Amino acid sequence: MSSPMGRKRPHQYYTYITTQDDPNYWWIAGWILAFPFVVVINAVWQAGTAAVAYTSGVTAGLGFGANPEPLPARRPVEGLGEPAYTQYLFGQAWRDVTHTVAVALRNQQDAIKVEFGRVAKLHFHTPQDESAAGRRNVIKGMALVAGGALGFLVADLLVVVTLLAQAALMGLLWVGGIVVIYTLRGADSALLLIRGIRITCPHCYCHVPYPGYRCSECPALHRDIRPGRFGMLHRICRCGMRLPTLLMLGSHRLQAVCPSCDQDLEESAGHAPEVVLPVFGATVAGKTQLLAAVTLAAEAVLSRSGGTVEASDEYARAWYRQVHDIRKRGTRVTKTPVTPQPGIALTLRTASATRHLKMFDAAGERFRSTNRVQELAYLRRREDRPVIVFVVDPLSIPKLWESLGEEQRRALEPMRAATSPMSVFEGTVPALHGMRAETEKARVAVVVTKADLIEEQIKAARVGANDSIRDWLAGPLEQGNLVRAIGHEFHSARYFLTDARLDQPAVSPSVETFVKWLLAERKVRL
Amino acid sequence: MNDVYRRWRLALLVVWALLGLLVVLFAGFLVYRRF
Repeated sequence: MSSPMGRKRPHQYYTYITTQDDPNYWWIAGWILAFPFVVVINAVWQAGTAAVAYTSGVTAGLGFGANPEPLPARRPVEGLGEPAYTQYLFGQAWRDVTHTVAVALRNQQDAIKVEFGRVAKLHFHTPQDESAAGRRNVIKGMALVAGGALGFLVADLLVVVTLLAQAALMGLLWVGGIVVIYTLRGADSALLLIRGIRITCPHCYCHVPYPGYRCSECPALHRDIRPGRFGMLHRICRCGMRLPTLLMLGSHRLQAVCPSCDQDLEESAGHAPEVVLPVFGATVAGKTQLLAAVTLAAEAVLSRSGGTVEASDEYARAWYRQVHDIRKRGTRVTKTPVTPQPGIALTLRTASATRHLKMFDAAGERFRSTNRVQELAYLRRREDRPVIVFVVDPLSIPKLWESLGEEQRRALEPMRAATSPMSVFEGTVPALHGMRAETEKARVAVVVTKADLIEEQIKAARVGANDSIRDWLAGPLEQGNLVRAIGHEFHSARYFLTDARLDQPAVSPSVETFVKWLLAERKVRL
Repeated sequence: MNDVYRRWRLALLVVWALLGLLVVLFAGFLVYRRF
């Protein structure tokens, strides 16, 4: 039938008023009554679905679950800053929060789309669509849509609250992390202070406030390994190796590096207190010979009490071999070059203590010039009661030299130091003042060497231990000025008379006495 | 992929899950008290 207005399709009129006679009457009435229940049940269901979608999104965003999509960690850039991954809380955590929320919200959106698509397809399809014919229920569909919307709204409210709680937790963790970092740093520093641990570089002689460390797997150098934004208890090197951040956690097992000169420090640097032993004295006074004898004496003294002496680095190992070789062959040590020499680092272990003995030798020529003395930074030490060794060649004391016979003088001439002890002292001490060394706090060990060459004179003067050596020097040998100057300049002085021959079956007890005094000064019980 | 932050992420996931559970339980408690 065509309409008067020329429309091709007729008007269709629908009515929603039905009577009890209508077969749909009770069906429609039933669904209208069920409407609120469907809304509530679907709201709860969809809230649960949304929560699960959010949770699975967070799980995936953090790299877990069936479809993990973690945010890749930012690799440390080579040559730029520390070669370590930033600690999780100080970078990656915040990126992860935004990433997981993005993944979780995307998951939720997908869940919403699926749910509303399913309801639309089932209940709001056009009459022409026959795919879900017979199951179309507009009332139920409306209830499902309302319930879904309500459920997602409730779920998202919970998600917002959870997100705020998560962010607050992250903030708390971040603050906690900072507290932990500074507590650990403080504890480590306190422990070093209590144990009296200081590090002196054997190469550049500088005091090392805290060493850098090489990674045990790759050549990366970690300049500041202590707890910080790269790790609290551990840090992860760019190669993936976990490295301890504190000496008390085992960073001493890594190769320590001097931050000033970038050279390797001794093994286990910072693990035990140091015994720094700098020597000064004239050329050919017997400084190197004394240090070689000290090495053997330390070995003898410690082995008797069950302890050991080990070389702590390659240079010390070479020195150690050389000393034992000299002992076997019965030769003498060679002249120390004028160029600065690395310190000899030995590890002394007793049953109750470990000490890093660092012996610093220098050619006697250095002690003639203030500038050259001042290059020896190890003389400027700030530790408690530092020890400094003044090596005195008795042959260079005119009074003793003159008391020797003509033939003996001729025989000993090549072994005699050309510079008198007073000249060396006068050349060195002003240099120490110039470099602001706290000489008034230092203990000086005045070691009179070559006792084996002047046995007769020693016997005649009845020289024995500490005081008698000082009196012998101040009295018969007319070195009163030197003895008084030593007493005036240093906190205290202790006098030793040593026979540092290396070719004897056993090291002289005189050197052992010196070593025992040194260890006692550094609180090592034998 | 070698995830250097895997331990931290796992710890965070566990803590967040507990936190989420706590929020849901608290919300449930509030609803229970209301009705």
